[in-house]
Amino acid sequence: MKNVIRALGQLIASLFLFFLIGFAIAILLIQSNWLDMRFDSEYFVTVSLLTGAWLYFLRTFMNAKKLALWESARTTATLTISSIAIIVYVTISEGSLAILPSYIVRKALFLEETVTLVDMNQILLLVFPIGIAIIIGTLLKNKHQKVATENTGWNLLSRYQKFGTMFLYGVIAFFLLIYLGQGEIQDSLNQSIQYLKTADVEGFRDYLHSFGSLSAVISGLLMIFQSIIAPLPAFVITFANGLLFGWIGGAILSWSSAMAGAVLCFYLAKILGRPVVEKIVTKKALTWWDQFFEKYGKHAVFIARLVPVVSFDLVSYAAGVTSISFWQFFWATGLGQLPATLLYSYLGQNATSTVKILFFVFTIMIALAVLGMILRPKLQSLGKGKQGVKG
Amino acid sequence: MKRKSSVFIKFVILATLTMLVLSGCGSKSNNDTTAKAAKDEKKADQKVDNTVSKDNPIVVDKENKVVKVYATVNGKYLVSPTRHGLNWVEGKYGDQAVLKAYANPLKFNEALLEIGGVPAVEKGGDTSKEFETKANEKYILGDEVKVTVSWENAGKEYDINDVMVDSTGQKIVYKFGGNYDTQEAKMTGCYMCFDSCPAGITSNSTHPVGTFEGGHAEFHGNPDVLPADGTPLVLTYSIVK
Repeated sequence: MKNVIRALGQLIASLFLFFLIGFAIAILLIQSNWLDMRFDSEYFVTVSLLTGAWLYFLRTFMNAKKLALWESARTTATLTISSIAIIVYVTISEGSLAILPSYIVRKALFLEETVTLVDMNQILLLVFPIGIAIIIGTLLKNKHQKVATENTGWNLLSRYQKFGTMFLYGVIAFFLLIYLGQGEIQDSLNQSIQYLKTADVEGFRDYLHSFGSLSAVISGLLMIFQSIIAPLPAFVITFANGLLFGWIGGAILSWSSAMAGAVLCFYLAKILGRPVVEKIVTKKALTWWDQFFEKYGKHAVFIARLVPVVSFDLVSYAAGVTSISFWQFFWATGLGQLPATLLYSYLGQNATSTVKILFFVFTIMIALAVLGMILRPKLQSLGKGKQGVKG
Repeated sequence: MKRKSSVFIKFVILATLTMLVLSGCGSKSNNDTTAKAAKDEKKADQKVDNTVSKDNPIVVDKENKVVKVYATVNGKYLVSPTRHGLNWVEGKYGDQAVLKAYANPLKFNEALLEIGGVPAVEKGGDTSKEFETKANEKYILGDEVKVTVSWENAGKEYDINDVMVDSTGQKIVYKFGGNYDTQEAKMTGCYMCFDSCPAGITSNSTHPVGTFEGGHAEFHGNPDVLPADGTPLVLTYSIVK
């Protein structure tokens, strides 16, 4: 029971400390008229709270003691006092004490439709003293407790892995902040996701076209984005690139951006390690990949790239946790995705409607499946031969 | 092998037929949907609701030549400066205005046209005629629009100048800029801007383009007059001839 209370105290201390930091940053940023007209700084509180939760997770489950800022008396005191000073000074001097703090918190917690500013003010009046008391209590407890430095979890990671993990969180937090706070970017990203989800190639082509000279850059970034995070159909981007830039230009753009996405996924998997990759691609998918890799060895990536039904991103992530070298992965991916990229780009340039394109995709998939059936015995014997040599 | 090939050929034929049927069904269902939407629209046209509310956020009273718009107060801009008077909540800058509107600004544009308003730029019109240039500054053109505001227990119709604060002390004079095409393309959500604006349906002709951005004036809601955050209110628009 004591441990549960202690863990809960630590969690609240970490969340409250980061809540205060995000709060102070948001209040300062709102003072800039230019920024306030373009960006909802309130979401700094949201992302800051997530950061507190993330660091608490690393501290509790991976023993990342150095990252637990709320356990250091000096750091906690400095951050808490300076954050509260900023919040109080700015809101009192601007005459917005009764409105702005409650407005910021309500928006950051997505409670605009359910909580009034008056209610939020009352909640804050309760939260602040409780939060401060818990922070002080946690610091006093830590002072009297000797914590053994164990060589587990976080301490077992290399510097490269630690940096990679924190960098990845930083990138995700940054994109989340921009997505939540910047209306135009949020709207634009939602639109692109909608086009990709509905496989509306012409709509997506027009969407890319609306960026003018930046359309190729946006297309490339979206291809990389969908590779890393979103399970969206990349073939729509390839078709649209063919339609917009011609089949040669489109193919070059699609191929290179898909390569960049694949390389990023490959390295992310290496940085994060097998347990995290298992969470991203599911354990079942990773086991399937292990068997596939065992069967076809170095050629596994190349074969997987040729078959359109196998997820491109899954292969990239899964390859990162196998013994395949970067250059083997690079060449196999580059050559393996070439036929489909060229074909989709060519069809993108020449087909005019979504139905036609879907029809073509369907036909190509069937053709490839047939090809797979024909080549299967040969591939199997190749795999067996390899196993024989190994054995 | 022969048996497998014949199964595959059958599968390909079946798949092709399925695709054709599905695409046929798709276009049929699209037609059905369009027909249903048109029917619903016709029904909606026949049944005119004159009560302005969150579900019916814009009401056009052609007889009295006024447009009524439902909105709510955004508490933040009673104490912080902004360049937006009223924005659609779903627009790109929906949270950056003193008042939040609940209908697409294009409908507001159409409503002002219905009461006889002439915009500076009509749909598909020439944007070069949108502004009047005085001393190298661009001021919005179009019909002048009178704006009044009221809410439950307000006791009276307030002029927009009573509920908004301009740091320079000048009077706000809204003009019907139009900007249908810009708004349709960018969907910033702007109904009323505090300085002349190439995107707002109406904007303040007292201040030229870029006044707020340049730091020459600041605007916010009047906390001494406007009700608390979230309070619903009704704005009434009429064209000044």
